[in-house]
Amino acid sequence: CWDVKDIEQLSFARGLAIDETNDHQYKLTYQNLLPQSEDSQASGKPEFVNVTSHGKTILEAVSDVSIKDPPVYSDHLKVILLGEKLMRNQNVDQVLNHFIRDDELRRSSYLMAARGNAADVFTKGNPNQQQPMPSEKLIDLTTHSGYNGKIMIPLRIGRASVYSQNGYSYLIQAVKNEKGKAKYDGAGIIKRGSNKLVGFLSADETQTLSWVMGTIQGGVMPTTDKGHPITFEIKKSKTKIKPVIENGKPVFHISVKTKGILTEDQNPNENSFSKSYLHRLENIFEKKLERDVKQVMDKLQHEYKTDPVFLSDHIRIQHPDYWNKVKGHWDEIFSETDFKYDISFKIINFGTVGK
Amino acid sequence: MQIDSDLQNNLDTLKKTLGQNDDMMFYTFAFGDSRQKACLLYIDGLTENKMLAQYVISPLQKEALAHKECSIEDLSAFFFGFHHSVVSTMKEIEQLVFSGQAILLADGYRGGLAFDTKSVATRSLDEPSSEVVERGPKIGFIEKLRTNTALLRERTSDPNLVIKEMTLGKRTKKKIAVAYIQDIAPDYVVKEVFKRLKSVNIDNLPESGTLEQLIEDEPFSIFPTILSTERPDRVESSLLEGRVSILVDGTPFALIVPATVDEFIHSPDDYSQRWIPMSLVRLLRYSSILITIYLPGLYISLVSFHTGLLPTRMAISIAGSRLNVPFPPFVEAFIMIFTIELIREAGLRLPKPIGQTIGLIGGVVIGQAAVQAQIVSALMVIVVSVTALASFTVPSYAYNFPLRIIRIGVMISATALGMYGVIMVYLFVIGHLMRLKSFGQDYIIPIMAQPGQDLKDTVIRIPTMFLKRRPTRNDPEDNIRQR
Repeated sequence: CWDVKDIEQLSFARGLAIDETNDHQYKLTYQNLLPQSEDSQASGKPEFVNVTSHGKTILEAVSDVSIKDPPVYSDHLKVILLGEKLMRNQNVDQVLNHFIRDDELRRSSYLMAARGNAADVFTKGNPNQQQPMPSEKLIDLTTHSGYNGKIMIPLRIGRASVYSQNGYSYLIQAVKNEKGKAKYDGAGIIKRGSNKLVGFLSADETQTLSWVMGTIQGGVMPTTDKGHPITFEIKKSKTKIKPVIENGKPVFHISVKTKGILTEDQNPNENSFSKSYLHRLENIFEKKLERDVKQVMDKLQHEYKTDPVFLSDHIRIQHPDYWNKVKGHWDEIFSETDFKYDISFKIINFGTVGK
Repeated sequence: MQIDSDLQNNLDTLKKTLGQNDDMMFYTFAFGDSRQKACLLYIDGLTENKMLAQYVISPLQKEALAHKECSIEDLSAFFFGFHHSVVSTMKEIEQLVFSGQAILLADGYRGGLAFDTKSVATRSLDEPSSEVVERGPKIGFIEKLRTNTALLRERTSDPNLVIKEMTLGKRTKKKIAVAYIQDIAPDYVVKEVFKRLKSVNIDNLPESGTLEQLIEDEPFSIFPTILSTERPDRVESSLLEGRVSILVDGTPFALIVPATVDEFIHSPDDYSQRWIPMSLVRLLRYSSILITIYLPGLYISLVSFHTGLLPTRMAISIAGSRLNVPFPPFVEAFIMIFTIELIREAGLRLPKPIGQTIGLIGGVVIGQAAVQAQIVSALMVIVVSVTALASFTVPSYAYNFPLRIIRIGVMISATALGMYGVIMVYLFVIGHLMRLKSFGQDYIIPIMAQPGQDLKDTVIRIPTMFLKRRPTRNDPEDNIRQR
């Protein structure tokens, strides 16, 4: 009996945005689903409501919700959004500590990083506008990774905690509010050790990285051929990463084999039936991806000086002795490593157009 | 008191004890050369008068008999081919005449003759109404024991089929018949059946249900441990599995012992239809039992304890539908379950045409109105309706009651303890079932059987060609069904 929580008296939190205020307090913004009965639809009751609360610690802020609103019930809390300021200033792992300890929240909830204020992404409910709830939308978007490579494999808070505890840097899906709409935009980089945000990657860079690292599930790559736009659509991509130690320095041999479709070719003189034509296009795509990935890697190695794509794991597994020597200062070693790319594209289909 | 050779004397004595009954007939007539007097005693309506005239009176009158003191056995030769027996005491006459026999007393003869001219009002053989099958014989037992045993004999011409009769009921003297197949049914079960039947000491057996309650193993359990059926084919197949059947005169319901928990869930057409569809139907039936027991309890525990286990959208819509309901889920569920039970009981008692109307009123009007009046939530109506519907898939009516009782138990413990309580009730019921026995046999044994043995004919039914042995749980003496 002491565990009874009657369903109609709960407020179902679906998303939570955590920000740091100017007076160094936490600001929590819960986005709660509101139960809809038949007559509340007629009266234009909004589908969701935002509840904000402040506190010096996370739990203080959480418990302060109940002095003004129904207590938050977070079994259905699926997405936690961290504000940029908070992430730059504080250890992400420590911020999440309460949510990891608390058994109500699931470890499978998604963790995302907001560009700017996290609370801004959670726009308010408006009864006259049939807009989807932003937090629900963020959750739904994670399933679209087959359509767009700019969507990362979602990071769950349990995973984030594991990475932090084990001293990994990692990427975190970044989100921003664009003209009142929540939108995925690139990825944030959490640096190991401090577990703070060091910077963001753009959406294109994110796609390139996950493509080369082999986690991509789909997406498109546009480029031009003699000034005519062409687009490659990823069907399947395989990556092999082989680290070699040369002169005490690791060299990563990365081979990417991608099969896909030529889904757009605006060249009026295209000749998809010719193998050599397709081969030429494949070459263009290969060059483009290689150029892109070199750029991103350069950024990671020299600007952020950290490895958020778990290349260290390949060293750890394949060269354990070497790893034991460098694991304390992997980030420095990483900034000096060399990469050898072997990228090959194969156009397996060009649709129903040809000459 | 012995029967005298003086007819008038005898009649005077008999009239003192039997004469108060207006349906008691004393038909006096004369026969033979010397116009000897004779009297026929019978109950009007219980005996067939035509038979008496044709087979008793007219043969006697046709014969030219010399008056001489001789025994009644000599007369018996005239009625060759007509079932009769000799009676010598008044007490015997009283007993036999009320069981429908006609007694012939003749002047000058010691003793009398009893003729089996019993004719009971019976109905014709009909389709059993309580156990309808889609495919299978459309014939059921009737109220006459003799017809029922004949039905069994007709279906099973196995010479090893033994039908033993005895009378039970001190006052009413009901005939009962015990049927089993000698070389299949294990001896100890047969002995146990007779032992229990002999221990019955009651004045009347109105129905086999009374007998069932007197000889069952667990009178205090909610589960029935004796199967009752109206279908001769079901009795037949049970006999062939090594069980014993008890038929009682005056009721179409035969008892089958020992019964196991799965027997109540199975239906004869599980075997007459093909195995793939019937296995699926059985799965459906077994799962509907789980539904009918647990669904309201699960709903209560999910809604009041484990909201996190519901998909978010569903949780929200449940919360929405419960928004204006003033009662906690248990009260809400209890109102609806109570209503369903009301409808069920009312529908059973009312005449058939009105019964359907009640079903309609109950289902549609009360459900709809209750939702609109916001006494219960719409989802609760669905939950309770599905629960009630699922309970009707159980072929045995007797098996319905335990399910309904457990359902209430699950609801109560779900209200108090949530899912933990549901699981507690589940364990309690399983524990109880494990303890139950039916005529020395474990009640739950087929479910607990080793794979490859009786399990192949429980939740699923494997093809008939693989059902080569009789179920081992009945410990049959000859266990080969087919080679």
